Amino acid sequence: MIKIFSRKKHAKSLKELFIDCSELTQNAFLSMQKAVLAYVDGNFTEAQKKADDTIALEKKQDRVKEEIFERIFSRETMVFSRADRIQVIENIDKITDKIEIVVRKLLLFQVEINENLREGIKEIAELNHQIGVEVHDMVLNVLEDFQKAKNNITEITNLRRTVREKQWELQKLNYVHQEDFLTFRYTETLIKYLMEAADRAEIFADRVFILINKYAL
Amino acid sequence: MELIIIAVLILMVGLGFGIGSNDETMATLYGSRIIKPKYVIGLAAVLAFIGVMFMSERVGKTIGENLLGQDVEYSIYMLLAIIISTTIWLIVASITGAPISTTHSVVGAVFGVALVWSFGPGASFGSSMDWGTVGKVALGWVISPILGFIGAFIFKSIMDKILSRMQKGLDRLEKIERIFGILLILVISWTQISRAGNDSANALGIMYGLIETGQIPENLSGYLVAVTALLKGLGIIAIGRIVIKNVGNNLISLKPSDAFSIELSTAIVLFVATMAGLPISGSQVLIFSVVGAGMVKGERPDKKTFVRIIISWIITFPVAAALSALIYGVTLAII
Repeated sequence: MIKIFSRKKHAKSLKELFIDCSELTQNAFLSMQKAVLAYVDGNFTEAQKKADDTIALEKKQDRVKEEIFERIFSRETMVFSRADRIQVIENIDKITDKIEIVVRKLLLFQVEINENLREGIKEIAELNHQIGVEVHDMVLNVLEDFQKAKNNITEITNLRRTVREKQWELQKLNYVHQEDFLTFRYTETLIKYLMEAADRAEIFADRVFILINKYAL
Repeated sequence: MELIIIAVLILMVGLGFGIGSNDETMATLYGSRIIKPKYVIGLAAVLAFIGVMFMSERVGKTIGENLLGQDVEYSIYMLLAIIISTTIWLIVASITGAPISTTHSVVGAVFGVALVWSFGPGASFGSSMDWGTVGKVALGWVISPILGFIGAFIFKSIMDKILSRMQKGLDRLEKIERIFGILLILVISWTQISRAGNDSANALGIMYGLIETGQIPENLSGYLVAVTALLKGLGIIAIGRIVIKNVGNNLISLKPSDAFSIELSTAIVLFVATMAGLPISGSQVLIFSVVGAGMVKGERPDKKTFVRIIISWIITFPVAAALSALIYGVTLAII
């Protein structure tokens, strides 16, 4: 009888691991923002350091994700919710993958960003950081309070809309002000990757919206 | 004791094994994974044994003693025809994958032999069956699934109202569902006991028919009930586990609270019918309860599948009657 109900003791609960995972994504967004700011200001050494920090956070998150997957099929979760929990973790991981692409882009090559685009790129990076905060809160609220998670979904959608509008402005400026093709192309893809990180967060928010409505009574 | 009576009794307990082999009562518990699958099967077998031992008498006597008219007595050939036709139809339906009711098969088979009897000298169709009891049984077949549907609809609606205030996030939801998991174990245990009592009566009705006509002594009933109970349990362990697993694995997304409202409705209907001595189909009640609970969420059953199930239920009675009439008629012609 005891064996039916006993559970293996772990250092951290599954809930704590989920929160750790989302915290790592939030920190990755912050680290990415700092890397982008440093790069745009021409401080390539600092940019490289922050980029390396971001990649380390991504790898750490992969390890947390693996531990979650090992434990998610145990009695710590109920069968009906496992698919949704896996969806949450997979989506967080995909967001962090997009963040990693941004910083790897920074490591690839060093260009001087046109001064007309610098503030705009910094703004997008800052908006992404705010998205990261909302993503972390959304994960917490999915576990604790669906109603609050709906507010996070709205915030992420609004922030992503702002990033998208900003992105088009910057792309237009890029066409107008760039003189050499290499810098133009590099800047274009950097902006695009920053946009994709925000897009991924919005896709996650949409999935959470579906999850919440699935359990709504 | 005549050899043919022994053969009928062996077939009877064999039918008990067959009924156990097709018992999917624990499917929702299996699918929920609240307890390990092997414990679900074990629990099903033990509860089925208890149900047969203590709750099969009233329904068994309805089938074995009360269905036929006062002028009719079960002959051994009638019982043989009933049990053979039921077994054949069960096998055919299992091969084709059609979900059928053992209860409908047995009662249909009784009807078939009564029909053949009514062609005998001095006999009439009107006196071949106790139409009052037949009417009650038929009413039970119509009302029980409807009650299962309504009960599940009401329970699910009430629970949703209560849960909508309590539910917060995924973790809180799981805590609530774990409590419902424990309640589900209790309710489904109740269902299993009632259903075992009701279903096994399809086999044990044969025994009560033999006792009623004095072909076997009444003091043998305890042993026969115990053997049938044991074989029903073994049927669940040996083959029923596959049915439970297949049905249960299709119900994994069902939350324990959903399963609870379905099983509560089913348990109540089955218990009342069993205590009233009415042979009903546990599968019918369960399926309609599932539909009723689903309606609360705005879900509609797959029309094609549902129609297929209804058709297989409707044709079971006449097919079993025709088979038993044919077998009994041929037997009479030979002897």
